[in-house]
Amino acid sequence: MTHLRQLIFRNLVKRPVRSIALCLLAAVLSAVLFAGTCTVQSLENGFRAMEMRLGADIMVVPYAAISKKNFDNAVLLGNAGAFYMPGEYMDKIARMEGVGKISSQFCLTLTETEYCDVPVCLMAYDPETDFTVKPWILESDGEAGKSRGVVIGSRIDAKVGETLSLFGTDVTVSARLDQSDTDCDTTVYMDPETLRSIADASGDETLKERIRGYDGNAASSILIDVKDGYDVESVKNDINIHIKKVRAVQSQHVLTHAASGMGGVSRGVKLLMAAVWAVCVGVMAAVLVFETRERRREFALLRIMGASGRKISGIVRGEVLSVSGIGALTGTLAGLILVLAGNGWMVRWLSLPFLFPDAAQMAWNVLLSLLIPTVTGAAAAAFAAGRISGKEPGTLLREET
Amino acid sequence: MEVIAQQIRKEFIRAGSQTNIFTAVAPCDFLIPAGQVTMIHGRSGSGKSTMLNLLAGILHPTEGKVFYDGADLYAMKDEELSGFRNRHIGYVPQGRSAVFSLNVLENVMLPYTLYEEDGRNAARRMLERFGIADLSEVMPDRLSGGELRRMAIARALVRKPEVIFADEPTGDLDDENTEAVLDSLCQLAREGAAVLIVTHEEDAFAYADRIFAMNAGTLSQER
Ligand SMILES: Nc1ncnc2c1ncn2[C@@H]1O[C@H](COP(=O)(O)OP(=O)(O)OP(=O)(O)O)[C@@H](O)[C@H]1O
Ligand SMILES: [Mg+2]
Repeated sequence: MTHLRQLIFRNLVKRPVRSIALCLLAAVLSAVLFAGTCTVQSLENGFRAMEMRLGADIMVVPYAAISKKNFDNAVLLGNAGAFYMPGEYMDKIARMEGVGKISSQFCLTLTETEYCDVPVCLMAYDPETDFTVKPWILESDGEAGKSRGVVIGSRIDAKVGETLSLFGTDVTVSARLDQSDTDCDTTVYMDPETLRSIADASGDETLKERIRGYDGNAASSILIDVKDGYDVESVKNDINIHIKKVRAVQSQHVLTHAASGMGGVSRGVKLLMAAVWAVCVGVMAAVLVFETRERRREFALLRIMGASGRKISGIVRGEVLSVSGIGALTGTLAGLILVLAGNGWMVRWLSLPFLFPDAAQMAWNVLLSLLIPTVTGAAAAAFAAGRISGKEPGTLLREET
Repeated sequence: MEVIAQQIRKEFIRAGSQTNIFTAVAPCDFLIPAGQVTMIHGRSGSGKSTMLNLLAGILHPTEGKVFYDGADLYAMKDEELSGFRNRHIGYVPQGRSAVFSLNVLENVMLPYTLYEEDGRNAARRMLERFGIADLSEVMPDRLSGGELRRMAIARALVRKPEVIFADEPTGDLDDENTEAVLDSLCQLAREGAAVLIVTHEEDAFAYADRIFAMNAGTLSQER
């Protein structure tokens, strides 16, 4: 034995219970940190995806479409059932200060389809001005090209690439949105031509009547992207003041109920992580302080033989780092398995938008959940070692166990 | 190497005594000459171990200085002082002293190991010298008190230190081993080491060149 690290190894083997306990502690910390971070990120990703899907800063809908009761939902949906605004509103709003991109959408509600157990909104976007739906369609429709592409919400029972038949009109699903718990989940986004042909084929007089309104440029909702440098809030207020019979709503604002659900869960998970971390720090420090006290005569001996206080700290740190490192590795692996296995279950249980972190985020999480327990162990070791390495060997020697 | 202590004094804070300050070692000058065996005896609690620790560089004196061939021991920083102990000082502590996660050979090698050096052969020679070569691979918690002590002595001497401190080195040894240990220490003194032994046993005085008595912290020369 000619190396200090061999002494470290022997010390670990000599005290298997302590070694395993510290290792387990680090493993639990790693697993919780990893799984917790992944959960929080999945929620945040899901939330961001939902935000992006709505894509607009401000949404304008007919005032009549909103009752106090269904305010959030109506606006989230942005199609407001059977209420429409005249086309010239769009031009008026477009001329207002701060309004950047602007596009209208038009909705027809089908009360019964074979693809969904609740009424479905067929939403036509304006191909010339749209900035929220088209990105999804262009992405996957380039190669398909066989029938018209649509984007469906998550409650529509179909997969990407499948063909839906709506009153005899075939459309191909080019993209399927993730669950958002908004009425987007029950919407089929399509271009105006598709919507017209479906309405014509339906033979339903109400639908035909409404689609004529559409030809006269009626809109169910107007989506606005505020120019850089303008305050979304004041642009929204401007619209509410100057345009009659409409309601402008900030997307941020209408998302709050979904956001608060997400916020609650992710706060809880963060709290749990912090608590586990605190317990680990406490227990690790306590175990190490107790243990180094117990071994102080042995450390005194090493000091007498010529080990400096720094070397003693190095030995304690080396011992702790090896076990917490191994623990962190196993814990991270366990966390990874936990997250992969529990993913689907989480989606159902939380019923919140849940989008799994991408590879880069995952790599970062792995790094953190390896690093934090290891650093925590090192800190606890430094704390414990500091309580003996600073003492004189002659004093340590006397403090018999 | 010669050790000179100048007016060293050690006080401890002790609850219950009148001033709360207890003088374990009264101010004194002291010399450990190279090539001689110096012994200190005295009653339990008289301050012998404290004196030894002050001289061996493991306990700062309240006042006074300790010089090794002119080098001021306690002026050194921990790192330097530790290295100095490793190379120049052999110390056999009172009582049981072993690193229990290492076997006997590895324990004796430790002074080398701490500085990432290979002390295997030196350690083997020491084990042979003290008659415990056959215990090389045994763990210390399996040893008798005497065997453990011989291991501690072997470890203190393995780097051929120039100054040797032994606190009751023959406490739990039989006559034969007592003789072997004291012989070795005398041998080292003859080779030029400065040796200081704390002992209870009058028999040991035969090996001493100079003898001191410690009485309630006060040192007086008897021979
Ligand atoms: N760190 C300390 N704090 C308080 N008192 C101490 C401390 N170290 C030693 N003492 C006291 O100093 C006195 C001398 O102790 P020391 O160990 O030097 O005695 P000793 O002569 O070696 O005794 P023994 O023969 O029993 O080993 C004792 O009364 C002891 O209680
Ligand atoms: Mg003593």
